[in-house]
Amino acid sequence: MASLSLKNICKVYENGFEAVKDFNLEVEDKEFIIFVGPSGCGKSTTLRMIAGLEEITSGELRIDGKIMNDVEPKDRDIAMVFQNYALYPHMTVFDNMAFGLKLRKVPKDQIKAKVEEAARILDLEKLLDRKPKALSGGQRQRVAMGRAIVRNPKVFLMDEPLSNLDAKLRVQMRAEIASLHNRLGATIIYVTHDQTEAMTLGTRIVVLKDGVIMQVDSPQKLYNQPNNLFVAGFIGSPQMNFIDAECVIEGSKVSLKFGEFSVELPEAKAKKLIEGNYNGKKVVLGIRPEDISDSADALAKGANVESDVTGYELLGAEVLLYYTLAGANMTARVSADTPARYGDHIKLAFDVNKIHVFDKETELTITN
Amino acid sequence: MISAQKILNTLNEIKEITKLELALFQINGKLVATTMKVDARLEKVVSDFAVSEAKQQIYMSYQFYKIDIEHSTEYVLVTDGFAENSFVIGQMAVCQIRTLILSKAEGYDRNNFIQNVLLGNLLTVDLYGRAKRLHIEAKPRVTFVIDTGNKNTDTVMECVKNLSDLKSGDFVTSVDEHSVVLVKDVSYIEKDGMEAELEGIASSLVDNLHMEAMVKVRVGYGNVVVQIPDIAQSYQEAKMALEVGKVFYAGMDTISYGKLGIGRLIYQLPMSLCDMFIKEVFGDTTPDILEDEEAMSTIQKFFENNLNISETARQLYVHRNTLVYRLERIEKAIGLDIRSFDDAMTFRIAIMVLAHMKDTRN
Repeated sequence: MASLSLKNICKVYENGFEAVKDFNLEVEDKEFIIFVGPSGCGKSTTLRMIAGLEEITSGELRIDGKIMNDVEPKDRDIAMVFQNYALYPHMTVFDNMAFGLKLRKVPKDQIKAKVEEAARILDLEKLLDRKPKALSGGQRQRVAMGRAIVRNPKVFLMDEPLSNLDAKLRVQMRAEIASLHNRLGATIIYVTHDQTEAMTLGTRIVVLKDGVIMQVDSPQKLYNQPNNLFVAGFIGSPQMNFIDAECVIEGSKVSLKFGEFSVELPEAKAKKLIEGNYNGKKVVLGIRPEDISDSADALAKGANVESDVTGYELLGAEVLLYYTLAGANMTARVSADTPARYGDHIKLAFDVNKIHVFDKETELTITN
Repeated sequence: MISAQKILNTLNEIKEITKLELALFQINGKLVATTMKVDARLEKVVSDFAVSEAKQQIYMSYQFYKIDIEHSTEYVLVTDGFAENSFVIGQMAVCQIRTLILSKAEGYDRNNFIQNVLLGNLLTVDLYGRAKRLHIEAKPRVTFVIDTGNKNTDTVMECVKNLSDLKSGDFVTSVDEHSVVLVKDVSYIEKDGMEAELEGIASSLVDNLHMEAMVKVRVGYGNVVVQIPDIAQSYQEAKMALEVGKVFYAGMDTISYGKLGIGRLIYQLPMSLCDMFIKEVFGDTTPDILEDEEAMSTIQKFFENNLNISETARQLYVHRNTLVYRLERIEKAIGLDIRSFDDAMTFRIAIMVLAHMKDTRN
């Protein structure tokens, strides 16, 4: 397996469209890196530049220290898995997995050994004689993975490989890919627009927007310490609640005022707003649904708000309550035994230690 | 012409089953393939046997059989060794080899036929006659052209052949050095879902070729045609989709002729008309700002955001006033205020016309 280095990578199309801007990333050996972002953010373009399927306009790409900008895709020692994969309908599972190697004129005994090894890893040994139509969706997906594994590449590149699968199969395959990463000890770069996939699979996540890296971090850090409003909103489901607020500083006390409510920030967070001279300025208050509670304990601690429940969703172990606050649509994730129901007027408490504050103009994080 | 290796493989398989040694000769006595050590005297015996009236002959331990293709003797099969029912086995081997040669010849004919159809080389009267002989029926088909750039098409051809269901009337062929053509039977696709299905097929071709052949490809496809002579039209449309796509939609891997939009119109404008239009918009010299990366990416983003200044500024990470200043600078340079719809449209078309002119002149 291998390390990757992307330095100042840019992609500009002939019509002037800048798909990727000054992309810098160091990928360590055996890392599982996720490129995530909304459609058109440049994640697939970056992956294709790594694969050699897209020309790099400027910048430097290295795999294991070697510059790869002008190396042919087949000579980069990579394997790819894409969204619109199709198995060869008249070939057996064995032949499907062997096909790429046959094209490369790999000797038959080596092909046999590699396919059998990949089949063992993917638990496909008993299915090697079957044709694709006799396989389930998950088994077909595993064969597609097998095609990549038999190449024994330095780096695996996967572009939304689960997008065409139904929800249940996606969850199952997600777990299989994670387990495959552990078993192969492979360096994987994986593109998705699905933040749940990103959070569950990645050792590090690269969040992209409009061709620019917004943040590179571990899933936990991205969730707890987003760099800006975009990352805060993109990571997490249901997404973080945002309320426009006014910062009021009185001595060492800092409060955020929104509508008829006001929330006093703890000392560490307050300090950041005082240092940034935010008194009287507009900021954005962010709080995740699970950091809002209707329990008696939480309400006793203060930082309470009131609203009418406009939506109630029972998820089993918990409930999502929808309501509005100072014009913003809000969600709270509370315990399933909550007495609140649709139309009820309820009290909710914000966990002030979990409040995030963002600059309204730059959208950068002031404090997490 | 079938390869000697393929014939040898068949002879070896027959030998494995029957335990008889086999050799195949041309009628002039030239050896094609053999599983045994061939006696030098056989050449003369074979050529004599080929012109004789006999259908079968025995000489020493050898048995000779004629293989007739379309009423004339083309090959002689020789078996060596005695087995129970060796005559029946010999006859079955003849039958097997004849079928192999005929199917190869038919395959070759089909490929040759479809190449001529794509290039419009056949007279209509010949075309229908040959189509009938080759059992090719009129049915809804779409032509996909897979552009491999300057790369070798062999591996791409191999992949596409394996992806397609060739038995059911798809054709995979090549008429030049940098593309592979797939003529696909789409009669199984419902009319309502046709566009999405065709896009799916094109995307699947691209993804599979990227995965397996590791060659950057672009796929253009034409409209659905039913009559066989119209396949040429679908092929021309697919080629045009690729050409227009290269000029106006550079980031796209799959391009449908039916979705080329304004690009198709501009691509067909004569150069004289383009020159006249560009002079009308920009005067005698095209402004230098068109080469300015920052200005062009600003304009691009502004168009993407439907001329919305605030949103564009936000996405470019610049202050609104900075963007307004940039747009005023662009207005000064090009003489068009792209904040107004009419000027924005004129500028957008002018940029596409310039791209077309540049491509044509190159």
